[in-house]
Amino acid sequence: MILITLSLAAILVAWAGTSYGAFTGGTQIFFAQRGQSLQERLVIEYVYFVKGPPSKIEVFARNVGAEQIQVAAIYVNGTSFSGTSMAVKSPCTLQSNAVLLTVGQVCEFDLAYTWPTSSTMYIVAATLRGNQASYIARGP
Amino acid sequence: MIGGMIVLSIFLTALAAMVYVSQQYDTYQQTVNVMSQNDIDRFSENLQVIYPGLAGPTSVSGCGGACNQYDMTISNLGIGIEIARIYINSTGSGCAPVCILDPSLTAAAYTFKRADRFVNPGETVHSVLLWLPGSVALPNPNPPAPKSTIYIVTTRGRVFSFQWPFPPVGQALQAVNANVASGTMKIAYTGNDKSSKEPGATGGGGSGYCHYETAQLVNAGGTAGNLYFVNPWITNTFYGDAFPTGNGQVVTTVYIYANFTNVKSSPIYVTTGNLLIQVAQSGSSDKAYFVGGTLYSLNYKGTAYLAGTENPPGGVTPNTSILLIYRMNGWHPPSSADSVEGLTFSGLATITNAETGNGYYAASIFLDGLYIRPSC
Repeated sequence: MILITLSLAAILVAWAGTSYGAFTGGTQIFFAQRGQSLQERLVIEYVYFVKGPPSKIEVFARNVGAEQIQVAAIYVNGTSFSGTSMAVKSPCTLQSNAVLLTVGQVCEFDLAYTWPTSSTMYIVAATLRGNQASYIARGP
Repeated sequence: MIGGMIVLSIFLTALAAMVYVSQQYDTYQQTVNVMSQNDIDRFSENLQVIYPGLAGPTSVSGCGGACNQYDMTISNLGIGIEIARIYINSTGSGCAPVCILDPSLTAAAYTFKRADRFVNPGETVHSVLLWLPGSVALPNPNPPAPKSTIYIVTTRGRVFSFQWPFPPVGQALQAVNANVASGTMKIAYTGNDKSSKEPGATGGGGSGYCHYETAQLVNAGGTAGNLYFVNPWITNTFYGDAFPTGNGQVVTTVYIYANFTNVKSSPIYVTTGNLLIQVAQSGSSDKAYFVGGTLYSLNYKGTAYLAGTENPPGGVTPNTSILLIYRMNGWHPPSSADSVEGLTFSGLATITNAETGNGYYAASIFLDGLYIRPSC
C-alpha cells in the first residue's frame, strides 16, 4: 500500500514539475518575444517621389529602437512590396526575404510604383515581429 | 506524513514557478518602462529653426574641389537631441532630386558637420554647417518664396522641417526686397457692384469712385523669374447709400484689387487663385477674423476677363501688368465710421499660373495694409 502511494506521489510530483516547467518555459518565451517586439521602433522619416520614368517612391526608414529590426514588407495604398520588390539600396541588404536594420540604421527602399499627381499615399512598413510604421504623403 | 510531503513538494514547485514567472514579468515591465521613457523623450524634442534658416552659400574647400557651405541656425526648446540626417528638397534647381546629408568630420559633398549634430537643451542659435558640392546651390532666397524644404531627422526618430526661404508671414518681412508689399492700403469705393472698376493709376476711377490716395506703397523689386505684387486696392461696393452710413445699410461684397507685373521672360497664364485675409478690426468693436475670397475677374490691357476662361488670351507678356480682382463674398466692412478707422488687413493670396511649356507655377502674394477711412 505504501509502495503504491509513493509511486502515485512520485508520478504526481513529476507531472506537476513537468507542467510547471512547461508553464514557466512558455512564459519565458512569451515575455522575451513581447519584450523584443516592444523594443522595436521603426520610423519612416522621409518619402521622396520620383517622377521617372520609371516612377518610383523612395522610402527612408530608420530603426530608432533598442532591437534590430527585420522589415518584411512595405505597403503603398494597399499594394504590397516584399522581398526583392522592396529594392533596398546598399548598404542595407535583403536577408531571408527581409531587410535587416541594426539599431540606428536607416535604409532606403525604392518602390516601383506609378503614383498619380497630387495623390495621397498611405505607406506602411511592417516588421517580422508584427510592428508597423506608417506615413502619409501627398505626391507632387 | 507522506501526503503532507507530497502536497508540500507540489506547493514548493508551484511557488518556484510563480517566482520565476514574476521575475520574467518584472524584466518585461522594466523594458516597458524603458521604452515608455524613450517615447516620452522622443516627444519631448522640440527644435525650432531661427530666421533666416539658412545663410550662405560660402565657398569652402572640400567636396573634391569647392563646397557650398550653408549655415543653418536652430534653437532647441526641448531636451538634448542628436541630428542623424538632413534632407533637402528643392523645386527647380539645387537639391532636385533630394539631397541627403549625413554627418562628416570635415567638409565633404552632401554632409553636415558632425560636431554640430548635438544640440543641448535650451541651446539657442545653434549653428549647423551644411556642405553641398560646388555645383549644387540652393535656389536664390530672394524673393522669399519658399523653394526648398529642409527636414532635420533626430536619432530618436523625430522629423523637424521648415521651408527656405521662410514664407512671408505677417509684417516680419516688410523690409525684404521681394514679392511682399506693405504700407497703407488704398481704399476705393464705387456706387454698386456693377460699376466697380479698376482705379486709375493717377487716382481716377469709374463713376462713383472715391479713392483715398496715400503715399506709394512699398513696391517690390527683385529678380526675373517671379511675379511681384505691386499694390492693392480695396473697393467696397454696396447697394444704396454711400459708405459708411452708420445706419445699418447692407454691404454685400468687397473687391480687392491687386496689380501684378510679369517679370518672367515668358508669358504667364493666371488660371485660378484665392485670397485669405485676416481682418483685425479696432475701434468700437474689436475683433479679428478670416475672410476667404476667390479670383473674380482680370483686367489686362483695358479688357476685362472673367476668371475661369483663358486668363488672359495669349498670356501676360513679360514686363506688363495685370490686375486681379478678388471677390470677398460674405463679408463686409463695419457699418459705422468709427469702427472703420484702424481696420487692418493682412492676407496671403495664392495664384497658380500655367507657364507655357513649364508646368505650373505658384506665386504667393502677401497683402498687408491699414484700412483708412477715405476723406471723401
